[in-house]
Amino acid sequence: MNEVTVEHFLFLSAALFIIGMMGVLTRRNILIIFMCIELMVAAVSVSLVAFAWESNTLDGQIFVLFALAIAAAEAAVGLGIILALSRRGKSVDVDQLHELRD
Amino acid sequence: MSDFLFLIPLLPLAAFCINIVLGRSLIREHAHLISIPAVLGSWIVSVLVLLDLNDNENAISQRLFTWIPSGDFNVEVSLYADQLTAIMLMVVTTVGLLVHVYSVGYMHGDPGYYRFFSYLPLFVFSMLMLVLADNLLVLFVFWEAVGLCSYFLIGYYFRRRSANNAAKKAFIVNRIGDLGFGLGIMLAFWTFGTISFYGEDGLFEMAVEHEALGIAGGTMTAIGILLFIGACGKSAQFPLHVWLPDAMEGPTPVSALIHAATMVTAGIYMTARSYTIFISSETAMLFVAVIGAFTAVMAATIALTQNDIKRVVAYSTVSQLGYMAFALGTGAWVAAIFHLMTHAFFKGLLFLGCGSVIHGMHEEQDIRQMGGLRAHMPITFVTFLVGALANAGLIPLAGFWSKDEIIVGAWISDSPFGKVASVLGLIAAFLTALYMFRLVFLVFFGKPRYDTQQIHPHESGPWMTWPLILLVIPSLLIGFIGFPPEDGWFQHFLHHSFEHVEEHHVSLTMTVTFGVLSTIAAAGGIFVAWMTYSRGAISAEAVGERYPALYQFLLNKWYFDELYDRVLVRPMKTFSMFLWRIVDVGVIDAAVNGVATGIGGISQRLRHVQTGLVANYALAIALGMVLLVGVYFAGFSNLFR
Repeated sequence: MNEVTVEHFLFLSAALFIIGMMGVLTRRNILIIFMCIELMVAAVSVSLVAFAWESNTLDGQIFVLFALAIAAAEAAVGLGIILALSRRGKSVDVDQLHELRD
Repeated sequence: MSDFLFLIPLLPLAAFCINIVLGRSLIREHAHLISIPAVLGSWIVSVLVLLDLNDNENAISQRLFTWIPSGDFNVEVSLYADQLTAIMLMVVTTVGLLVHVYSVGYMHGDPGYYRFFSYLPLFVFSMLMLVLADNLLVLFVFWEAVGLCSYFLIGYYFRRRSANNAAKKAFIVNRIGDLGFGLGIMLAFWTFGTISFYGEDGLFEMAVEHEALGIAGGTMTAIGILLFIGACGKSAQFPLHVWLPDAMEGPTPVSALIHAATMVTAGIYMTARSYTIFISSETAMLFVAVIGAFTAVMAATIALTQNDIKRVVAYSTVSQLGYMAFALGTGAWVAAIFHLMTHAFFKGLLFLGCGSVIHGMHEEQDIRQMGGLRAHMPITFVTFLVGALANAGLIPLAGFWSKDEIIVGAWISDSPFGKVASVLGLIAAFLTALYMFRLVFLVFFGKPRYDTQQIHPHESGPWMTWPLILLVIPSLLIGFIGFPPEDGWFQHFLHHSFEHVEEHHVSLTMTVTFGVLSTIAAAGGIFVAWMTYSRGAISAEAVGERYPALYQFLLNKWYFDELYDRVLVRPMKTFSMFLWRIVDVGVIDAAVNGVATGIGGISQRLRHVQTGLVANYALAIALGMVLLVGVYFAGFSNLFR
């Protein structure tokens, strides 16, 4: 009963993912949305590590290292865009950002 | 000699190219300095060809290039000149040259001067290629090319609606004939396996041997009739003659060159060229003879009542072409070509004379507004008189010899229609003299019927009178190259081109009898014209009032235009309107537009989905994912089983 199985990790991953997704859907501040997306990426990484741990291989863990590196790069780009948006003035509220539609 | 044959068509082609490219910017009013020497060059080479063929009977030919190498179907572009071609070359280049010179005066100051002097050599080039062609396809190509030049030149005054309509009419009526011609070419290729004219494998030799080759007589008849339908279009024979009188909308030199002397004789030339096909089929010959004789009389009766000076001469041309056609149909091949040649000279002269009259009268064409021009335009009067006498067929002018030979040839022929054709020919000869001298008396004699205060008729300048004077010479004398009848230089010369024709011997009595008969017919016509239009002993108005139906019938040209309008044009228009309004707009356009509006409508609904709000998209993605995962769990996974 005390033993930690793969299901525990997967529930953690699912919980993290749903928290992230709810954040994306409900928040309006683009910075928060961005952080929630990062959370979803982390959730997926957790599940990858969990499966790798369970099957006793290193492939998944190495995969996650790569994913983290790419997520860091993507975070730099995303933050850059958010910075540019906030510099342009006005707001960082996604509901106000619909120039591309018009 | 054969090495220089290509120069004949090349020179006018070069003149065309130079004038059409540089005419507008550089050459302008000097365009004739390019065209006239080119045609003169062609004329000189043509004379050399004629002399060469006179000394030495073998035809000359020059191979240019292979146009279509395609298995059994091999089309070479070669020039081929035999005696018949040489005669045509002389006619085309001589009249062409004189018309070019005349046009310098007639077209002087016209804004499209260079354009005129581009189309004219282009026409001469096409016509020369047509007579030099040595297979049906090349002949057909240049047959169309002369039709195209005719279209350009009829519609030369393109700002006039009537000229545009006349050009279109000429083009479309010719298309109908060309359909027959095209089918004839295909049938000839299908039957003989070749479209080349000459040699043992050529279709003319094969036509002679058609029985030995196992080709049915009916096929020969079909080829002959189809080819002659093409000739009907180009040579303005009934029922396709309606375009030629309207073609008078073009400048008068064009009428003289294209619509009197050369292009309209292309049909006669083509029929004479393929005579072996026609002599293989009595039915086809009969067809040609009946159409020709009918056209000769029909057009002559119309010419009696027309009031436009050029239209009278145009109907006269149709009538004379009818003569040539029934000469072909009764087997008088040489006589037909003889008449073709004499007619080219005197009808060219008459048209150029008309042009001079119109020019001197300041663009007046109605003969009711003329009269007494003899005193004002002596050179035009004398030359026109010679042309009219030649056309009427008075001894010893050019028209007499050729027309007489046709009438005799028809009488002695084996054709069942021969004797009838001969009598119709005599009637047409009487009518010809009558309408020609109606024209002469109304235009040149009597009192002026125009406003003498306003209009001062004047003689044309030397550019125009010299061609007239030069054309008088052949109109007077060219008949003598066919003298004595049936045995002259012309008949011996052309004999080589018509080797397979049976010889008919004509007795001297018969020659003299018909000579006297046709002279009586011509003199009678002139006498009646003199009594009516000069002495006033017979009142034309009274005759017209006495037979109003007949007069109206002739004045309205046998109601051919109205008939075609009712029977062909209007049903065609109604059918086209149906295709346009119902089929095109109602079905095809509706289907295409329906698809477009349908998609447009759906898109209008769907575009509201694109809110531009990131939250909406994210929600859609999340819901979609939940849905997919849910479906997977519910349907395909055993997680909840």
